[in-house]
Amino acid sequence: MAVGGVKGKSIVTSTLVIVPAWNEEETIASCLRDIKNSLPAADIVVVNDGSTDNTSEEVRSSGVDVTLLEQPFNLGVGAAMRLGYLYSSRHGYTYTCQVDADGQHDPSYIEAMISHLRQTGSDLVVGSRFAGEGAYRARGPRRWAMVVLSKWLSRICQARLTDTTSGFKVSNARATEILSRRMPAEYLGDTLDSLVILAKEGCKISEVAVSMRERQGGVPSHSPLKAAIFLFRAFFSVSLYVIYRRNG
Amino acid sequence: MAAIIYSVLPILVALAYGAYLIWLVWSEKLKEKYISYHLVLFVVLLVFSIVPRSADAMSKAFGFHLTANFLLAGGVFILLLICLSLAKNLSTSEERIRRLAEEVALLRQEVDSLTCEGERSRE
Repeated sequence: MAVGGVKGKSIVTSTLVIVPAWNEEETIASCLRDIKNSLPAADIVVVNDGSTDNTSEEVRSSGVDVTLLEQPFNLGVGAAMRLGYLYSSRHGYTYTCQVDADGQHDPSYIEAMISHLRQTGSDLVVGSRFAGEGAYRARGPRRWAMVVLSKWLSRICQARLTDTTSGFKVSNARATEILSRRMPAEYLGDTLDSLVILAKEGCKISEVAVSMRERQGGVPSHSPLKAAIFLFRAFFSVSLYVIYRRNG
Repeated sequence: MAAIIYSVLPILVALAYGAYLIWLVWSEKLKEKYISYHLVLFVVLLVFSIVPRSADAMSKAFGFHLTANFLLAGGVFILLLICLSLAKNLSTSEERIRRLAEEVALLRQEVDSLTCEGERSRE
């Protein structure tokens, strides 16, 4: 359902799925096939964030019709997402969804997230691991850090948010346009800070319970030191965005 | 009178530095990674100017006879570190600009060859 690049003039509702990928050769092809199966009508854009492995080749040989955007060097996940949102904004998509390439996010939830977005009149819907669905449980210090963050972010965003570091989101054209301008490239900027930015621009944010699958690659960390550093950096960066002025 | 000026002036300087820093953050003129060390520097400056004894104590702890020497040496060392980290970031940026220029040159060549092909097929 490609809309010929005419901004804001699309009559059909169109959906774009952004998949930021950095060295994801093992999981990217199956992830793309999953998305295509769940949402046959949606367009998919993969942003290759300067991968040094065969991610691009895997995308081309996956058999799924996708647009591949390649950044010449690694700029961080926030930068990759901003390029995806810019693409979406320029092409005037009604809904934009962001999905991790590691296969953690189940694309069959996207439809439910979009209908939730429409029914509640929200600008952004976050897929939350902790809102009831599924068996995902973070343990120990990392979990405490996440609980504290979600309390604080819920207050800033004036909504109940249980999973503020989730990279599974659906946005409407308004939130997409804001993200295409202001998505920060810094550490955690793509999750926590982007929520603060949207809230400060007056967007309505809500969440939907999703179940996440086990990561197919990479190991989540459970060390207390890492959790402490994570929490400290998160507080630092969110504080900065809290004092940022409303319209940049 | 003069004594009051000497004790208040450093505090004012520190506060002005802090205010400028916050303005830079507020207007999004400074990136997050550059803010952190200025923030630390601001706190240190503020503490030293409000409680000069803390600077004296620290200078003793580091084995300096004169606090002035400690501040100067410390200041130079911090500037050296900042200088080095800026040089590192600049090197990364230069390398990236080079890469982008190459990318643009290749893209222009690709666009040119596509235009040529298009013209040939029209003829």
